[in-house]
Amino acid sequence: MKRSVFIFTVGLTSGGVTSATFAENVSGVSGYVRIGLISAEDESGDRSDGSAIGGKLG
Amino acid sequence: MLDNENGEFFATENKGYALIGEAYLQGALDKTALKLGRFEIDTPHADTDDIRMVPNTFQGAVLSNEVLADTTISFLYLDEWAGVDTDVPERFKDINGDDGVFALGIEYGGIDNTQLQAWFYWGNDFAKLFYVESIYETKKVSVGLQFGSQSDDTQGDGGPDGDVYGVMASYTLDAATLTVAYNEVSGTVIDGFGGGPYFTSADDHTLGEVEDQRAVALGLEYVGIQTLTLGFLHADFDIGSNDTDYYATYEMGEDLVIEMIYTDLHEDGHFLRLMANYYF
Repeated sequence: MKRSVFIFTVGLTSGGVTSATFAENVSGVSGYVRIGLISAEDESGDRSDGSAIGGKLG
Repeated sequence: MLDNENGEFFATENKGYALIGEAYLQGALDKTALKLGRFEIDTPHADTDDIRMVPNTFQGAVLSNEVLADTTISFLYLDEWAGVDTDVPERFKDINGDDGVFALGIEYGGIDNTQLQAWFYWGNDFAKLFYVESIYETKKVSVGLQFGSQSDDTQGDGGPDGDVYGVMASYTLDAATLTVAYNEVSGTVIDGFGGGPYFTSADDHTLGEVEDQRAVALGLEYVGIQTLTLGFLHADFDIGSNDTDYYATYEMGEDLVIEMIYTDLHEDGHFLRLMANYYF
């Protein structure tokens, strides 16, 4: 079975995501691509940021 | 991994990682199925808790049987786990040393609009966790009851020891749903291996591991704008800081879901999280 598959090309700057693309047909592959951004401030007022690209391929 | 100053998404030492989270053999004979290997499961005290980059996944065996009408009986043996709630997310590590954890669950759906489930978890020299839940749900109303009893099975006092009960109710009017929930603990209970089952659990805080904790939660969710969901949840804990969550979820077609949540932990700080999932 042909499935639409996300082939990702992502660039991040300090301002955020700059690009994210594309799709093509591949047989028997499923899953997801996940982009996560987090910005936190703890009880002391210290800030920290995190960003990641991940996903599941099956 | 792009910016790892905040370690919530990452492995130990804030590094990126990849792992074989699921790889299993599965077979079925009539109404009995067996799964062996690494897999995702969602049960009250062992679940994926998929709130960061990599969900919890487990290594072991699941034997499930549906020979009784409207009933699923599950036997679980969980040997190792990895993912978001573990101390070392990037590697499968033992659950309860070499002993693992066994569980028996019975889920029953034979009563209209009602789901019943009962679970018993046991780990040698760890704990016994008993949990029952009933949820009645129609298009407009839902009512839930839960009860858990946990006992320390260690040689010392290292395990949980307490009871918890909870009630919840929700009412839906057009596109808005109002939810209220209450939990009370006598002694100390744990979430288990994942996010836990409690009705008052918020995005970050639960009542687990706090002695004689009580919590009240109030939530409001609105789904009246196309595929956008807007929500608010405030959980007030007797001990420790409260947790107030503001969230929005937008589905763009069938493939792309974007979720944003602002979690206010009051005196414990706050964080903003954006997650985008593209499914293929």
